[in-house]
Amino acid sequence: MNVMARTSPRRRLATVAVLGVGGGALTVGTWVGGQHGFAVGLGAAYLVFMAIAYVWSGGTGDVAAIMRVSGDERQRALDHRATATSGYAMALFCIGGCVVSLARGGDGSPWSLVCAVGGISYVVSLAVLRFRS
Amino acid sequence: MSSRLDIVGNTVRQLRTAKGLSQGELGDALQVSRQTVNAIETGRYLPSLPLALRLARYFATTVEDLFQVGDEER
Repeated sequence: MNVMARTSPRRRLATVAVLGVGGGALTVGTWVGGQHGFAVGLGAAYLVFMAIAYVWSGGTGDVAAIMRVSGDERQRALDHRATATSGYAMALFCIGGCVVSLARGGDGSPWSLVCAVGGISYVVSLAVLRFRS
Repeated sequence: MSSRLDIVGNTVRQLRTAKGLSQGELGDALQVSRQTVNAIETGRYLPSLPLALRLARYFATTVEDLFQVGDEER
């Protein structure tokens, strides 16, 4: 039995659901903020993203397997490393934003708050993972 | 003094082709993707211990015979 035969429709909805929840939240927030036209466009864009994700997740490649949350050990390792790398990128960007804000006489917000969330979550994650390993 | 083991090669491809299997077929047998089998054969990915053991059992050999190490003393 090949991978395609084992791909269940429910698994393919994993990434679609994440996009739906995230996109829905962004759309609602934008609408509540008064930008109705932008909210409609944002909602439509996320519907397109969800359709693309559903089709893509039916494939046999590494990315498709990760999107189905059904990857093998190597694909899960790829996902973890990509997640960590994106975390580093976001952390660097936030630190840079904080530095620029402070250099301009500001208090570093909201970058300092994001940096704090990142740092605390890393320490807590490390502690939990050490305890469980 | 500690030693470090470097995996310098493996015989997975030779054993697979000797059995007349495609990478996809071997992947299905081991419950991994075709891309992972390819990555193991080309040395781009070192399998975990459970997967290495499954590979060895599938080919009726040992992990030491499947993967060649180059000992380095330091």
